[in-house]
Amino acid sequence: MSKDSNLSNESRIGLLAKCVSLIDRARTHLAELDNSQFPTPATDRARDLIDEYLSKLQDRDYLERADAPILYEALLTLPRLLEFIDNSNVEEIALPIVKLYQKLWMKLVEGHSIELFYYTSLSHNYTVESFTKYVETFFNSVFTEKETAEVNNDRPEIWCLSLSQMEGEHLPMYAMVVHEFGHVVFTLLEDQLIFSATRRFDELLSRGRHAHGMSDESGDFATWLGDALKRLAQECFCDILAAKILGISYLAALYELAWGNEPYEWIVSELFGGAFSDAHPSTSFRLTLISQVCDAGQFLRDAEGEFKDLEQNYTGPISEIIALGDNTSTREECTILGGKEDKQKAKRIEFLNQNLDAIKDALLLFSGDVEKLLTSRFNDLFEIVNPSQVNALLDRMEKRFPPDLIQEDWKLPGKPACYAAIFTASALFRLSQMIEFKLDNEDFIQEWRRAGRLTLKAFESSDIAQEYWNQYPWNHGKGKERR
Amino acid sequence: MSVISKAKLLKLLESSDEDSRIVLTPLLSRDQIGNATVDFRLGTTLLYRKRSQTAVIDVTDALESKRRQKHLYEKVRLRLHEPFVLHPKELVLASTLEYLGLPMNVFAIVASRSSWGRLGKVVATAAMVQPGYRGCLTLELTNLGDRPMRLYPGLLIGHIAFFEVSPKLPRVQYRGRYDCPTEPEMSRFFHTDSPEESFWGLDGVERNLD
Repeated sequence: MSKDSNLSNESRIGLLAKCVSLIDRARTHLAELDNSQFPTPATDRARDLIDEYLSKLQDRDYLERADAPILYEALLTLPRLLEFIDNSNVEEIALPIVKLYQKLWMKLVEGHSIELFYYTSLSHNYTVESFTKYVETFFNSVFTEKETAEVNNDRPEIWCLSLSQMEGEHLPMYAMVVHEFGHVVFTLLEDQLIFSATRRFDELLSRGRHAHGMSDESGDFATWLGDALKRLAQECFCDILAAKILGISYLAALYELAWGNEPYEWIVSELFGGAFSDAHPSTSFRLTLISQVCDAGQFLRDAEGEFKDLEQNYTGPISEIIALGDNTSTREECTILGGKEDKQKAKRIEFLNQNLDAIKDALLLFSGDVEKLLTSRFNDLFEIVNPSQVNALLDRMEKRFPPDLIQEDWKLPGKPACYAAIFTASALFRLSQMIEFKLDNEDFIQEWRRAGRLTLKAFESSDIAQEYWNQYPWNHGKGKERR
Repeated sequence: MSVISKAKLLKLLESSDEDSRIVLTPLLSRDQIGNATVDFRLGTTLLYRKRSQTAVIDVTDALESKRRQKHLYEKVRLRLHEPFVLHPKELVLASTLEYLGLPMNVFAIVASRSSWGRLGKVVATAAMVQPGYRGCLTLELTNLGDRPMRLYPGLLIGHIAFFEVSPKLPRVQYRGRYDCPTEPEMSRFFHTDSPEESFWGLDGVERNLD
């Protein structure tokens, strides 16, 4: 029975009047936002999407059959939805960052009808999620599936990326955003990836079926195991994509993100009742994988020579990361978080731990397939960053200049640094500061913030220089004499 | 103190010696380097002052100082070819696109280009840049003409003259009020933790503006 049927007609009409007023206010608010302040046109599309849902709610036919209390309840949280658009504003979001991510995004989803908009959140974090699905869920109590499909018909799927308002504090960590993009790319390439994953995990899956005999539970267990392995494979895929695009900077960003966490724990998360929700390989395994993909060992050997004249120690952090990524540790352990504490869960944990080495081997084989696939599709996105470039940029950072250009033999105008090199210098600079941190160092906060500012400036500066010099090389006007 | 001319300036811009190198980045065109000055460009971020109920600006008023940060200014971030309209008599804070780094024996003066002055737009003050400075320079732009004027990031809007300081100052880390800014900065009237700040009863106010 709907809540509506308990209401008198007068109360129902009164409640609908409030709903109509809330909808109208929300639509007016959305219409008043200045689209020149949106970082990309995708925000406009996200605004249109919400507006389309709201206009449907205002439809007389809809209102006549609407369940007033449910509609009112849904509309009470409407400001939460509008905040996405409110916070998609260039006053808070740095355009160089948007430009960089936009370039990567467009290439990664090329040929698919998918758009991304950017908004800031108060959280010191970042997420990439499907805004289309979010809005769909938001309105699922008031619209049928058919009505939702009508709204979404012919529209591109819209995703959104949240960035911290305090971007300067987080820039090196923004390398992690590319990992999040990976989840979207994984869904686009799922058919090919699942084929490869199934091949690599075939033996494990049959071990799983065998371990549970032919009982009724074996089917459930096999499904559960398949899901868990798929999630682990997806995480590896995202790491490989980010490592191919951002190299050592991604390794450093992950290391910083996992700082202070238990590095050897593999985590599978379950919802209550055994439903599966998420899975992550251990930090140690991820670092091993990423180190292999971006050849961190070779980078370290070259960096030891290149970085010798720098004031701070940057090779120390790289060595630490590589050491932590030692895949042979016997401390690796698998944990299942959440879910019901029962015999089945104990069995699942036992199986995962007994087969952890086999899981690792299968993931490494799968990773080889992924590398080949990614190289065939996105090779032009993969920049090789060598230690000599990073050395030049770190030198600039130490002297408080943006790590934007590389001046060979100090000659003007220099060569714009690529984003992967900027990220790498910035991430190593930051890690080195963290390692050297002393509680009585009052300058630390200033230095930390300065590094963020210089990194952001470097993205802008190198991008503008690249754009300008593509059209007008340095000597274009031949330095003619001026009055 | 003598002005540094083109040939020497080029040497200093390409110097491998950290103690004498001038950094100006990104320096997009060789044509920006004149005989005695270097042209600079308008940066991508501007701050303009909102209309408010504040009757008078009093730099010794701690509350007013604290309010400056968020409440009295609006920030605009522009793309390279996106215009900003500077209205007559309006004052905006902008910054140079170029990030400047000076050695300890070079001092600089910033001025408007006369081509802009003839149209009514001026860089309101002739900023003096101290030896050892690092950062983008904040510019106070105003339109003295009677027509609104479109400004675009990347436009050449002023120039910098460099002077040698003699004798050379000792090499110390710059500890001015403005630490490696990359965007326009609001006025900070007093040095943080300075006797002057205490004398006017503003202890820590400037630090809290960070």
